[in-house]
Amino acid sequence: MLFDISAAAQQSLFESSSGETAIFLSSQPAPGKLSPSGGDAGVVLYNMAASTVRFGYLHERSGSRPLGLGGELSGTLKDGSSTILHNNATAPGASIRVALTKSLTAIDASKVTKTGDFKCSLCAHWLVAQFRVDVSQFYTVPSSAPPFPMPKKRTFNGIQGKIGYNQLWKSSHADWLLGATIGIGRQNNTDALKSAQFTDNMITNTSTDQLILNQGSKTTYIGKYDEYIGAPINADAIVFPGALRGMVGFDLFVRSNVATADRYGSPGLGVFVAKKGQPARPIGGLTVAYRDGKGQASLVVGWSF
Amino acid sequence: MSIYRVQTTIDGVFTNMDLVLDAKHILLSYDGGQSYASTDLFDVTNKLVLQWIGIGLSFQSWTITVLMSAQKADGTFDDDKKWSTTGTIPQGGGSQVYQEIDPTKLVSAK
Repeated sequence: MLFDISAAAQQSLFESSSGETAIFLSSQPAPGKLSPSGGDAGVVLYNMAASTVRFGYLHERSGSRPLGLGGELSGTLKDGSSTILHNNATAPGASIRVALTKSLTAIDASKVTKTGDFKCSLCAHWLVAQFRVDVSQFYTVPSSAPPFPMPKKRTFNGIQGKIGYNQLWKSSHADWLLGATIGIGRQNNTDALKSAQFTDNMITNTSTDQLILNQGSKTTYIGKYDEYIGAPINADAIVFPGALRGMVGFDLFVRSNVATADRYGSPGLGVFVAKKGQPARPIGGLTVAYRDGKGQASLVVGWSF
Repeated sequence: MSIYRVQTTIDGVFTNMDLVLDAKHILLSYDGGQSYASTDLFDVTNKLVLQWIGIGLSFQSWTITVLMSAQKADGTFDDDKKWSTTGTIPQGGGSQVYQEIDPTKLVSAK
């Protein structure tokens, strides 16, 4: 086999509100069976959680140098206006991801005969490696209690490496996509802090009047801000019940960090919907996650091309 | 025996796939969407044997299209003749196809 590695920028749209997943479903089958001429694929997605939005593009290239690239821009849907604080804001930022998958499944069509079916339980499994760089800028304040302190500007540069394992299990009643990843990287605890949009107004006195100049809104996290080396562990189990003919997948997932700082576990449930005959390319999904006593819903929609 | 140009196209989304034509494993190009293709020359005695396995999520629809055209004495090729089949990946396994394609019995792709 000339090469047995393919690209998976992430997957398609099987992601939770945090933008994370443990399923890396490459659209390039049996990579060793593809010619070096290559090809490109992309997915554009929106991930909306509360008042926040992430815009992502996932790009896969096959061929002799397979590569998966993912990019993401995040921000808040609300803009600063009359009130000082908006809840659930997301810091403006960008993320770049590079991922590769290595198939562990061996099939040989030369053994196919005139009769019989291709039966399998563990029908496919593959290894995953991902590297990502995150850059974001935001403000932090230790407390929102009056008098409101001046927010401190922060720039976060995070890097993270992950390895994982995915499986496609099948029974006569359902398909299961199973995945787990473990990683290490520089993280911060903004996910655990209350976020808000802070509007920094400036009052100016003129000879005839007093003007309020809006200086624009700033994403601000309230609480004790930390940066640390994290060890995220993610797992997903997506079941496609046969009765729904591959058009609906239910995702049981957990996002966690097992490092000492900001240790947490966040379970969740997602529902993804696909067109008839296209189960691997969902058109959208809804996820609900639970963390630190709070729930967060997220809507993911997108287009594959 | 005749030389045939064989253009194979497979449409669908798969986790794994393998295509064999006349006992030869075929490398497929990928268009970045849901289409995989190859163009090959075969010395066909009577029939071209196609063997294929496609694995993916159940209910994924797929199509295999083979265009065959005989090489003429001047080196050019006749019009394409078409063979095609469709299916969906079943529950509890993958799809597989074994087909002996007789190019003399195919109809024109036009």
